[in-house]
Amino acid sequence: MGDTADRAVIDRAIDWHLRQAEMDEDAWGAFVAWLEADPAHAAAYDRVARIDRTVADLPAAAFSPPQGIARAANDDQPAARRWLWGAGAATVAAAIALVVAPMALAPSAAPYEINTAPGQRQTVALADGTRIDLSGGSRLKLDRNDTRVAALESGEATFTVRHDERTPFTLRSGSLSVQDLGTVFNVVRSGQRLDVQVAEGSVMFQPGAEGIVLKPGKALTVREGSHTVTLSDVSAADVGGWRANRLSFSGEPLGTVFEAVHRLYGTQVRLTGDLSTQPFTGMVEMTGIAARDIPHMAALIGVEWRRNGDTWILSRRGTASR
Amino acid sequence: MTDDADGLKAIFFEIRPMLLRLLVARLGNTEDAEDTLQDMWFRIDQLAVGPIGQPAGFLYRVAANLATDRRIANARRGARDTAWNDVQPMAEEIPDAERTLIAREKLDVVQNAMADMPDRMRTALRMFRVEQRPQRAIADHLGISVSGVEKLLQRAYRQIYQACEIFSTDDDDRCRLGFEGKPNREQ
Repeated sequence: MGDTADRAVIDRAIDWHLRQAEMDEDAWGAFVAWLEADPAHAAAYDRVARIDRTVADLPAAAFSPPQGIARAANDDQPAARRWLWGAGAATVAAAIALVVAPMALAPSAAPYEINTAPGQRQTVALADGTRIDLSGGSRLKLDRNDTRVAALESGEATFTVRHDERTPFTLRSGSLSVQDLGTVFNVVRSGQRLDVQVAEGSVMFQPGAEGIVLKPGKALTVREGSHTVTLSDVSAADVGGWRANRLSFSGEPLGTVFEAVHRLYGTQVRLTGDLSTQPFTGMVEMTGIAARDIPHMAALIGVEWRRNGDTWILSRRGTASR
Repeated sequence: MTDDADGLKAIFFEIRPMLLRLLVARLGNTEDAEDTLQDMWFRIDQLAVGPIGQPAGFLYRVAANLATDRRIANARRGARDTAWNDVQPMAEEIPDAERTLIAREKLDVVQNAMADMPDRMRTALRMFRVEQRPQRAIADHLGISVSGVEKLLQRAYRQIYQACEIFSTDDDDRCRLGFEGKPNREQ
């Protein structure tokens, strides 16, 4: 900012920020009035809100005591472990060289990665009885020495977890995490977006006192960096249905729908105009044969299809594009 | 679920004017604010899963979070647009690289500020922000009072805020409120 905001204004802005979780309607009204009262107020608050996001996105190491200082007898350790694959852990490695604390798991961790090409699937059986069905076009990180952690970097997987109360299974994805509470659940990671659906048992999203517990038939959607989650209902029986070539969607944009099709079968579909944002609700039984599936889906959606080499092109019927 | 959704919708309408004021104050213009409200309205059915204790507070929080999302997105776009005006075509990768660098420097500064904090302040910050624990729980964990937690967090944020002030004249500044056309503060 051009001029340094008055200390009192900054403190007030921070104060408003800290109180937000507990503010009632009147307090929000007072907050709005304060923001409106002076552009310097709004500017200071804006800065606090954005700093807050930076803090939220920091790798776990940033929350551990700096190197050389004895680890306090608190619970920093599990945090370091949970954030082992935290967002940006690799990209900021250079920047945090000064602050990084020895990671609790690092010496014994033996990470490995499983990649599937679009159209390819793989089932992974972990030593402790947990099964992971990995869809095509997916990237999963596992640890040979710790079967209770996994990280889905991209793509989709269904987790059938052998529950162990003392060491819950934690799935990470970017800076987000899901912890099983005795479970079959499905996770899709696509770009910044994470979808979690629960078939059996339950999972906790972002474990902690304010974590969100998802029961069978519940689904959660969240974007990395955004702090708003969307909850919805799904049919528990349909969760992980891709394994049986059954895809169900409720109001998903077609872009997402065909992303799933590409992942599973490697089928390239191009959506013209604004089709990719059009929502789709329904269940589709797939054969895995594009020449059958794509025309079938086009009919369900009510659009025209044509084919150009390996690419299927869907567009709105007859009408001029909007 | 429909009951919850209906209840939430009713409250949304009731407090809509104040939500709009909040968004205008946060975003600096009415158009973005209206847009964000509409976003909320479209998602309201999905937001209403199960009873919500403080529906009005909940909606304000959602609006405030969406406003911050948008500020960050606008800032990125703003930085890119500005940079594009200044440089030759073909150099469009430079602003990205530059922004990455600034982002990394900023992360570095924040992390250094955190390294300077006492352990319990860092712990309070982690519990508050990463684990999103209530202040009561943090107080119990640290064995101090809730107002003690408040003070710790207040100091933690202030230290980071001050550390970040060195970025005042660069990238970050261009996306300050008022940058998007409505000069509501002096540059």
